[in-house]
Amino acid sequence: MTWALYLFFVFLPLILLGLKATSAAFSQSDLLTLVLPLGRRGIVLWNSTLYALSVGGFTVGLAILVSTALWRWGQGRWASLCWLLLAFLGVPPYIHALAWSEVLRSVQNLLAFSDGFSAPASGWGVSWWGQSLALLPLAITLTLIGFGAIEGNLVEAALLLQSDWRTFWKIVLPLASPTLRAAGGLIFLFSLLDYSVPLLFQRNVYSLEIFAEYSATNQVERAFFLALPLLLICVLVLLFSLRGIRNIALGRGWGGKEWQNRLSFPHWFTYLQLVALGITALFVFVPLFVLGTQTQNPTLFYKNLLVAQSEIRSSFTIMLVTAVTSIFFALPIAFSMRTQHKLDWINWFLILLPIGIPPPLIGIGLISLWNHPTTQWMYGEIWIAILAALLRFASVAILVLIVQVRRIQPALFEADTFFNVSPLRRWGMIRLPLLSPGILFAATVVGILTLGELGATLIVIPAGKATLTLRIYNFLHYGANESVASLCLLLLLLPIFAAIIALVLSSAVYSRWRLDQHGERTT
Amino acid sequence: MIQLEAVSKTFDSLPVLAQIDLSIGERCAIAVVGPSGSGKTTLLRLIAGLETVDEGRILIDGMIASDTNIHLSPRQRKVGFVFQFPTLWPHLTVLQNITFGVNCPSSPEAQERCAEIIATMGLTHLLKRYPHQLSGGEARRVSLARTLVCKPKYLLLDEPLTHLNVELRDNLRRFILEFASQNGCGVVWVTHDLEEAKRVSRRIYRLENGHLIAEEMEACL
Repeated sequence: MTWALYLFFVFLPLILLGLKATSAAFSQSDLLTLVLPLGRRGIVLWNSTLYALSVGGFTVGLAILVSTALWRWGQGRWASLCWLLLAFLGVPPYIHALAWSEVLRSVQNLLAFSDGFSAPASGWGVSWWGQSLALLPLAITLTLIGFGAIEGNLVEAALLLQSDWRTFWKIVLPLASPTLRAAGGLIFLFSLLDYSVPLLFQRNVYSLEIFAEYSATNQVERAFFLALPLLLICVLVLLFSLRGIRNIALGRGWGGKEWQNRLSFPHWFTYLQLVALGITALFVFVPLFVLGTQTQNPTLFYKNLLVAQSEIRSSFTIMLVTAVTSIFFALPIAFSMRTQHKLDWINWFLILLPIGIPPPLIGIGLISLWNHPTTQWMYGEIWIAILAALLRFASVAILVLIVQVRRIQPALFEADTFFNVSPLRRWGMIRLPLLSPGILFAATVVGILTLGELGATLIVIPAGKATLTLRIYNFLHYGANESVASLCLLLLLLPIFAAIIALVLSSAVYSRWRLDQHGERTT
Repeated sequence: MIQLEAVSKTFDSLPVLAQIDLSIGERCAIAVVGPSGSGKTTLLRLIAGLETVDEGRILIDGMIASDTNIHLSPRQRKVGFVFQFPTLWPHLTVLQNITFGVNCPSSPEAQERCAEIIATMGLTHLLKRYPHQLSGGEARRVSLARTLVCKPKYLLLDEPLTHLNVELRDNLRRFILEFASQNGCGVVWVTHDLEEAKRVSRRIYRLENGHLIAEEMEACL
């Protein structure tokens, strides 16, 4: 039943959009020419793909260096410190882009007195840098999960026979490769679908073409056919990454033993790790420093927030409703995925597919479905923005909850099936409490992703309404000033604090029950 | 009565159980022995309804519980299952774990039944503790008590006494068999220890290459 609801809500707008576009193509044959990316559009698609590939490759490479440096570097609670990078996952990419554009502007001013030297304030290079750093926490997190998914005994058996470096190269990397491939695939997808960063650095990407086409013509059919080449690339990348993403979500599951050894590497590799750690430090401190200095003081910060209180209120409403609603979809589906079977790759594909749909297309699909006189209660209010966020991020909630369900000893769920108790009692007393850390985490992740969502919101938000991200994005094109900086600082700090709180609470629940991260009872 | 008729089970194209025929009556105790990986746990899980059969059928009290089309839930089979590991819910106290499956726990009959089993299992002083505060033996007794308070018609025990000391093992074994005898329960006791199997029942079956072979046969309890 929940699968039916999920498929209905997530895919119906796009299916109807596709049907509408297909029927229009019978009378307007020129629509079909949009499917082939020729001429200027072909160049844009090519550039976008290369851009996304380079971001994916660089970020995953950097993530491997950082993860190997941080792996088991501390004991006890300090060993988990590296997971705090997860807190930066929800920071919108354009926040990083804004911070780095300010850094470059300052460098330009400094170099203005030097002949022949200049720092680029626009172009593919800086866009690539901003995008890579924005997605770095995701890459590091996935890489750490990939290393953590390796059965400890396999690494230890190799260390008995070979050097640390050969063990890493011949055993650890190959075993982690499906996850690393998936990490690269996801980074590629997000870079390909995001236009906020390239646009700020005055570069045109294909996902922007879809938005621009719809804005110019208001024809959903044209936008749909234009989006097809991008959608095809995304589907292929998702299929390529499917096994790895599945491995990330399923991990070792309950009962597996994590790899504990800290490896020693050759000098040249250690130097590269240091460079990577330096870049990671930059990604953490540059946005905080730049936005903090531009905000100037707490009084001004608060004053600027008051001016934008309507947008803040809308954003928080959308965030909270989306976060809670996503759990109602995600929990039953995640629970149904706890056992594996032959054809479950189809389920995995259906869960992941929304991640690969261009955000503007999601927005256009929703408009196409809901823009009728009888549905103004949805279309003309922020409910449609909530729906857009739900379509984009319900998959994320499902993935997080699948991880949680898999971490719990299966027998704890099986044990309650023998008793003749009501479903309310079964779920209220046993299943929901066991799943509570994952529910909290999933809701937090969906909430902070919703807070920074731009691509679909930009299209669906009704006239007269605005969100925090829209206000920031509209002002960014006029150059950052202290009011935008204050709002950006809010969007930077909120996800970090929310993620830290969720991590701490989840850990507290596990330690309260004296469970280690594998769901086993500890002494 | 529990009847297995030509039951087979395969995992990833590997046959685990092949054409199993077995009958367990009420007031009957049987022991199933076999080495690790022989399919003992799978056999119990099929009877309990935690796995589906690939071939054959399982009947409980004349009703089809499992075949290739039908699959009754564990709750509908009225069996009690004691897992190989204690599987106590970590966020519930000992008392909450034990009484979870009891309908109308405030009724005098339910309270009397719970109190009797708790006292017999020596758990009275542990009721307010959480699972992480229990020793392995205590956790196992709580797990057993949770199953017995619901008065199941059939008891399925998956190596219930592993990792316990000899004295505790003997006491618990005696208690389980007495409980089964007094309450008319059928018992399927899975173990890898032949000596333990002999202390449970004279009806012993061995699982070998997926087939069930009768070792010794005698009348039921």
